[in-house]
Amino acid sequence: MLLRSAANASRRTLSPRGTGGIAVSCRVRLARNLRGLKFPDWADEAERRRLFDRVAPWLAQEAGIDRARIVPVGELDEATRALLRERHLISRDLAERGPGSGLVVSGDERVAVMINEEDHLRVQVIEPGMDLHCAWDVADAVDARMDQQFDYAFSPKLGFLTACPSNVGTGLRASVMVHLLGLRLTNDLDPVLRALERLRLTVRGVGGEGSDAAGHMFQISNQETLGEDETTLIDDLLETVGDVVHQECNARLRLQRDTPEVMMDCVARALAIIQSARIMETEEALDYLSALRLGVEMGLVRRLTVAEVDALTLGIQPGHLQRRLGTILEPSRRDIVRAKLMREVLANAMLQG
Amino acid sequence: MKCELCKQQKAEVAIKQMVDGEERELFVCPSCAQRAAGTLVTSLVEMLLGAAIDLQLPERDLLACPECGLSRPEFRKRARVGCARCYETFARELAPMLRDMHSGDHHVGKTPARERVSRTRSDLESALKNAIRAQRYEDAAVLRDRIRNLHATGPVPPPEDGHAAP
Repeated sequence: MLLRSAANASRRTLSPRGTGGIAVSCRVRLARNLRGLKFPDWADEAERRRLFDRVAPWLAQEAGIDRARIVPVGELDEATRALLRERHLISRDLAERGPGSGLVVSGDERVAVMINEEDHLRVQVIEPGMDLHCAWDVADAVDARMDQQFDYAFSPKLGFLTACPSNVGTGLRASVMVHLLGLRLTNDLDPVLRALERLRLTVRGVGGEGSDAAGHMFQISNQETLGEDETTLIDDLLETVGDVVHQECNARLRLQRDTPEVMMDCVARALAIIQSARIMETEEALDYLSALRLGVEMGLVRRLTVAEVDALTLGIQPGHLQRRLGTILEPSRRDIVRAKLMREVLANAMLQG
Repeated sequence: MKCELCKQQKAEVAIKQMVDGEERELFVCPSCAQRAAGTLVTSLVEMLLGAAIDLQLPERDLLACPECGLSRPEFRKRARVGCARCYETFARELAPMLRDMHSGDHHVGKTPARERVSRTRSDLESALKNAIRAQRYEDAAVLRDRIRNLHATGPVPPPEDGHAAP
């Protein structure tokens, strides 16, 4: 079964491409609706089910989604929904929806179409690093096939019509997930985040809000969707994210040159605590793994790779832990299992020198 | 005494009317009196109707989208539309929302294939009219054939369930 194998498999490698691992992954999402049908939030369950039953099999077979599977999210248990959510395959919104909502996802989880989330159809493509143009090309190809099959809700003036007016026009939301611990350690993170908001970009902590977001992972995305074409929106976002990556890079180099103890202390504490702790909450774990990720990239940690850190970052989350053990666990029990898993995986990791 | 307005019928009624900026008493026949009163009545009706239209505005605000039934108060509460048609129904409320959300005010970018065909068709039709007007009949014939081809191969309008024809 897809979900079981997904939980057991290590996460697809999100290796950096010339960005020093600072840009972790990127995503393109296209919102589309069908003319003449109520949008999902306003449709009743029978209408949502009818749309899902008709659209999902077609998407799985004809939309060019490789080894596609249909996942009826609205009929899954809580733990499985959490698993999909943690893998960024579904939004929080979709995870909370009832029957008639779901997902068609490719075998490698790169391409997915959410059905009856806020909009009838949402194509999303995830790529490693910040290759948003590649993600756009794939999303564009799936969209072109859907366009042949369905009559989209479209207005020549407002473009693709969506449930929320903030998505009209291109319906495109492009985002890049960046790891910004260096800027946090040099106390430069807040001004960077404020500058991004002034540029009308949305910045969201992946594990919480603000500059103390757990794991120091931030998703930067375009706010506006009307008035610029897709390529321009992506290029503008890439230019700004490129600047942020550059600043994070500089922050890391400054730390290395001026206050190497600060960086080493952060990494060494994280490793020591992970190797000793018996109880570990998710947010605390994300912070330590974030420090180790920086440590590996800066050559401060041996016998550990960024891919292993990323796999563990996913594996310690509640849905994945429960799937691994095949049972539902109380939060306090999960904290014990999480600490044990982290000790095991990082048993051989050690500081450099 | 003859009616001071039509100067034909016998004056039987006195009415007050503004003449050259002064209120004057006029002696008029019954039909002219009625006509003068009618003018007044009409303008009053217009005034009343105008007021009624104004008064009805909040009433009109309560109207729902004819396509999906989403009511105006519900739309304001949710700040989400219920269907594509809502963008016309609630255009007045949506305009300032869209201005806040986006710097641009019209779509630039990808267009559905169906839309591109209809745009091409209307472009061709207007080019055909221009060609005929300018007596460029050879061009017109070519344009006519291209429009015919579009009709032959163009997509059939989709049925109501949002599914395009295969």
